[in-house]
Amino acid sequence: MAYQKYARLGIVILLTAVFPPRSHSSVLSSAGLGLPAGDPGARFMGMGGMSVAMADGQTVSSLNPASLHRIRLTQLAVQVVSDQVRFRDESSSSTTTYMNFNGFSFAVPLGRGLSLGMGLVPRTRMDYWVSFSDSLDGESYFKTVQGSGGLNSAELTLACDIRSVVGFGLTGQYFFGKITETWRLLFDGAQFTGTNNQINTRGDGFGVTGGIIVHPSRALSIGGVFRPSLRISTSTEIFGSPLIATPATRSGNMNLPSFWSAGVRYETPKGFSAGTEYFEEAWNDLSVNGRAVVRLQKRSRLAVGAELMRGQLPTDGYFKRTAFRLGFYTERFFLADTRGGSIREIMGTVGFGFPLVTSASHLDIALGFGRRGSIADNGLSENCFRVNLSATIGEKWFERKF
Amino acid sequence: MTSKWSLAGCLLGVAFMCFQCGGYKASPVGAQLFQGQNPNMERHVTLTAASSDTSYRIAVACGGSSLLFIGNGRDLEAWTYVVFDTITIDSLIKATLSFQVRPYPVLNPGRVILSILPTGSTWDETTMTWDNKILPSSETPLFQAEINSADTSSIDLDVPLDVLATFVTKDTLTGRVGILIKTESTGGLFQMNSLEYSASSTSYPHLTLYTASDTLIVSPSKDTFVSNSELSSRSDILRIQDGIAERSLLHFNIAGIPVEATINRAMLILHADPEASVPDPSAMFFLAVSPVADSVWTVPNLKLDSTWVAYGSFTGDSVAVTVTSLVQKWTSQTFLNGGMMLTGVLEKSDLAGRSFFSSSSDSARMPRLDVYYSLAPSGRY
Repeated sequence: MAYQKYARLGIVILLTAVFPPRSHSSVLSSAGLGLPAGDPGARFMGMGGMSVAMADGQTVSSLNPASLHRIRLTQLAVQVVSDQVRFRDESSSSTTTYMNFNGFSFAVPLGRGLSLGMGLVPRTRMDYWVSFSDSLDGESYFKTVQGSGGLNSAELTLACDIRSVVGFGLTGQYFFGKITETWRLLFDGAQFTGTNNQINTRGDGFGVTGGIIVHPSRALSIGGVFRPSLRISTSTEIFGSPLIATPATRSGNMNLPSFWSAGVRYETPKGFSAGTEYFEEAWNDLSVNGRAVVRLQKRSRLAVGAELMRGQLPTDGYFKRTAFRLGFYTERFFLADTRGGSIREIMGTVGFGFPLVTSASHLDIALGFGRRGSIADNGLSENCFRVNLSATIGEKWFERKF
Repeated sequence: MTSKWSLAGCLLGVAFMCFQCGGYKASPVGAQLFQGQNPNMERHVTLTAASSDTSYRIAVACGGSSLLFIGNGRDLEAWTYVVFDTITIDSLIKATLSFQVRPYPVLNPGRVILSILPTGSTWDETTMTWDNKILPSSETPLFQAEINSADTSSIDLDVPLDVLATFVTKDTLTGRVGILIKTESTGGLFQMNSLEYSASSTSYPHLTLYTASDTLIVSPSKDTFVSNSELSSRSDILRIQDGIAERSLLHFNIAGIPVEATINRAMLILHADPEASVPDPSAMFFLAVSPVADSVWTVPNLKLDSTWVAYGSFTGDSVAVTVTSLVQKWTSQTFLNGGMMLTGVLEKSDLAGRSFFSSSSDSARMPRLDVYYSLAPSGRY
């Protein structure tokens, strides 16, 4: 019976994870390296994205490596994200849908306060398709541009717990990814030839993220995380003119910006916890071959969230072991509007955590309803409905026997 | 209970998949945002020709022409030269000089008096021009004849018997006799086929000798024509002319166009100077554009890339030739940008010429290369 349940869950995870995305994300993902991704997990998204000060052994945050320091079971987590976005500008609107694998993590307690984790996390996400008519010096044309890809990171984390008061974590990250953009141009004039070109940019680089979580008391946790900027080496193939047999290649580099975050969480003995968190990522420092990328700006987010989970023991009832979450965040989007003004993103979230089989395995779902920008202030707006789904399996694998 | 929740999870997963299966069509929404992030990806530039542009004449000139011209009209005068080898023959009864004429378009001279004058035979058909032409050894014509140039049938002129002696010997000595065919009549121009037109035809000028027992056809050993249309001394014009094979060279600096650009359209635009165009500035004039494969112009022996050529026509005061693929080859460095050579398409079968304003002219009329091109979004490299 237990195998059947696992199988059912496995099918869900597998199908949702490998099902190819057939639709597209927002045109806002065409900026920079794409939309910043790397949600810390469905559990945390249910609390407005708050995760920096969270370390209770149930779930590992992909944001703060110190969140591993309290795990007591081996954990395997897989995530899926889905966004439905209604983009509007001053002329019209369209709805896009995006769904894809959103990373996995694997964490093992090594004993003696040490934990080891590894994972694969999407860090940026580009997936857009825009078509429009325009003209150049009286010659009208129709243009279609598609972009897809993004930057991911493969991560190896080592965390240590010191007397259950302080937890440290350090993640070594290998960033890699590919962005493909194709664009077609068709002039109306009879003597024009069309453009049908493509660029593929591959990049990789190494980075380090350090985090700390302090527990001044049993109820209070304070966390912080910092990743310095890092250098991404790039290689770009440009399939420009069809007359060129081999694509032009360009080598270069990017400066991936730093981020830092700090948060606090308070937990009552009855399973209620609440907290707040501030996050800042310096996308305005993103540069490509030393050139700043236009219209990118510092991304900053303030989140508040709460969770209620009244019981974690296997003997507790299912409803008692189900987690209920609520959150909200407001964010200065990483991209400025066409007028140079900041785009504000606000989102309210609700989340649920359903225990599976044992108290250490759970299925987390977060639903987010939010909006980016406004027509009046930015000339564009996005209404977003987001679903995060993650399955976490916790088992006593690799438990020390001596 | 657990099973129900798991089943709910399954249904939710399936719902996600169904949710994302909805089709999505590209839309113009966000275009302004996208263009703002990727400015100037489509560009339009107008390049002017470098000051090194020039005109020149190739050595083969009129000797390689398939047509010969005779006449005098609209500032265009042409003489035809023909050389026959003398032959040994007895009992000649009669001889005719035959050729086929056609009036030159728009310059039909109608009835004209042809003068056949004696010349030497030492001229070189690849080098003789109006300036160094061989003059007749006597201003007295060997004979004259009136023809109607509108008559496109073969014209046979009886050669006076006293003139025949210059073409025919009664001993075994051989030699060459050259004649010049010209007219003093004005107002028109006519053309005839040359030896190069067809070696198997007798439509070119030839002698027909009648003896008591036989009829002999004597073909010329060489023929050419000269025309008074010469390279202009004006610096503000260049010229392309058929017949006398005047050509022009232009070069455009395209260094500002990135190598990865896609050329959407490139047009070579020239503005004609009707005052310096012959014989009829309003007539259509066909030109060919060929890429020069050398960075240094060593006229007349230019190295050309024969795999590419484009054609255009002056239909009025200007011409626009589509050279999109040539500019694409230049920018992608498939071809060396050695400039372009402009020639008359009918270089070996016409005498028309077209002058156009050079880079020394005013900016509105100098040769231009009008280029539309597009670039890859450069945000990632």
